Amino acid sequence: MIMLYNRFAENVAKVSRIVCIVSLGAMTIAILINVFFRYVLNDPLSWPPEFARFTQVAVTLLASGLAVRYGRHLGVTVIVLRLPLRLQTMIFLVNNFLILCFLMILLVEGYKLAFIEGPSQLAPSLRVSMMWAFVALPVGALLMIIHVIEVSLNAVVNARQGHSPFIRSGSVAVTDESEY
Amino acid sequence: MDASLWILVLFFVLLLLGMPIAFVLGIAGVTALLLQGDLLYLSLVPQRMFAGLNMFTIMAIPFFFLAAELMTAARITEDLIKFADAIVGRIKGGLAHVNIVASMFFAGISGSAISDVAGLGSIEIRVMTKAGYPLKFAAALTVASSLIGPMIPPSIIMVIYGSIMQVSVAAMFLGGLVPGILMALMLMAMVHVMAEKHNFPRRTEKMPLREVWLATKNAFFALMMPGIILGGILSGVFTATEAAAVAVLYAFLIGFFVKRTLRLSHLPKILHKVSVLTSVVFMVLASASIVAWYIGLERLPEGIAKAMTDITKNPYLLLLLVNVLLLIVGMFMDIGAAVIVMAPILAPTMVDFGVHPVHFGIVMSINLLLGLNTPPVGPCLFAAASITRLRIEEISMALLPMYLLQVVFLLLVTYIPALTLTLPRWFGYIN
Repeated sequence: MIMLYNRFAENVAKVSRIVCIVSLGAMTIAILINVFFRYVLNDPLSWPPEFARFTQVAVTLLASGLAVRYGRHLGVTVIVLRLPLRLQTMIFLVNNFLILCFLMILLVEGYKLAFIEGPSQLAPSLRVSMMWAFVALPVGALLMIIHVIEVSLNAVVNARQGHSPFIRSGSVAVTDESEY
Repeated sequence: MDASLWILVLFFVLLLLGMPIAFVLGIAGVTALLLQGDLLYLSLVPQRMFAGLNMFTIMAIPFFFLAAELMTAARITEDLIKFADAIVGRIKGGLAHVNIVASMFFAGISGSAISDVAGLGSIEIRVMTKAGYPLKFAAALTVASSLIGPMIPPSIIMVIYGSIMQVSVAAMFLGGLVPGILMALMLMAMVHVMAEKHNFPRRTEKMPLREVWLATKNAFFALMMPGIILGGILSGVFTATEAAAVAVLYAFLIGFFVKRTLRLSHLPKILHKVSVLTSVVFMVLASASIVAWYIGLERLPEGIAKAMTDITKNPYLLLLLVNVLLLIVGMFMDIGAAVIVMAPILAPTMVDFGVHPVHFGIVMSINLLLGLNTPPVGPCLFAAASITRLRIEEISMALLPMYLLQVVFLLLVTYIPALTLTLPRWFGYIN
């Protein structure tokens, strides 16, 4: 059962990975196009800044699920890491339950914002419904929910093998040249 | 005020129980909304998060990450270290000086301290220990010198402060430049004294001229990047975000056509990695926007201002007080979150007492950056520990004299506003 869920989460992660790569690339190119039209052609466009801003919202929310999956969101783990493993796992699960409550609120309210209020609002420059900008919120919440459940299930399995669910923080932005 | 206290307690309990700060802030924000006694307030959750992320100025941050990542993938870091070695390698304690100077160069392509430890650290530490420096000292110096990274533009923390407090990002960048160089010089002075005392090694053989030329040539392109960013912004041509996007293009072209070490196959990996990095920083911003709404509603800044001025009305003492407070906050909290939550609370009071917002922003940044190097929650310290496999305590002890030096540096910047304000004034960004 857990294996089946893990495979499902893995596939979800694969898709969001591709969407993030494309979105971040598109965001960069949009701003470069903006610069080119404004300073080289002297004919400023109105859509790129708005498009890039909405893409920025989308990348943040979609990649956040991946960050949950890799345990990359920064937290203070020095204290909990000194507790017995059983207690660590319990705290991890309680934390995740609270996080799920928060994400459910984001999912429901985000859904309302995107699909009830969104269609009646128009993005000033892109001239499309704001639904397209807001939709990242409920989708991102859903992805985070999927991965919070994934890491919670795996925490139980890992505890039996003696691994802590808390990944040491401070791993943000750690790039080693040898990676490339 | 009573409800605020409970939210604060909840915040710290969840934080210390290891919950990621992005969600701690989200849950604290939702609790604050629920305490208003009407479920309708919950619709503010997605609205505030969207508003917090839908900002053009903060877009400079993913672009700076991307540029630094492209430069690292193209192995430009090695050139920077080589170039620093060519300049200062032959003085006594040469490689220790190289460590500092290379951080100063790297600061121009990276906006965060942790990427300095991660990008340069493993090479610096390896080279230093091979030459006979104690491992602890090499690790500690790498951690200490990493703080130069976010002081010299580009800088993530200054983009965040600038966009939150509506202060010009260009003014913040210029304000950090002189302190950044000052910190490098102070660390070098310390290394100089230690080199005499402990008889640190120096490079005895001359570097072949061909190698010097190659290192200079390769490093030149990397060193041009802060020039493009600052030059573009200062000449009024680009906004900080546009300059950052141009820096991405520049880093790509250098890696792909000049150094030819960047492969197209690297790109998906780089973009994926930067998406996650960006999300880690921005989710904190998004959740903090919910809390920021509550802080505004409760008029917390006014309460804090009153509490502070009840203790003292002397601006010098007040600055000292704020420094102590921020140093403690920085020890526990992520710097981005600390800026978003603390800047709107503290800055207005300080400005009332005649402290310039740019000056306060730099002082605040240094305070919080020092927290990156201290236990219990010091990402730079942790990164160095994971590179060297030393224990946090061991590096902390070796780091102590450097930390004290940096506190002296902090006090200098705090009480000599000219250090930060001269350059932005010179370029007419502030009056």
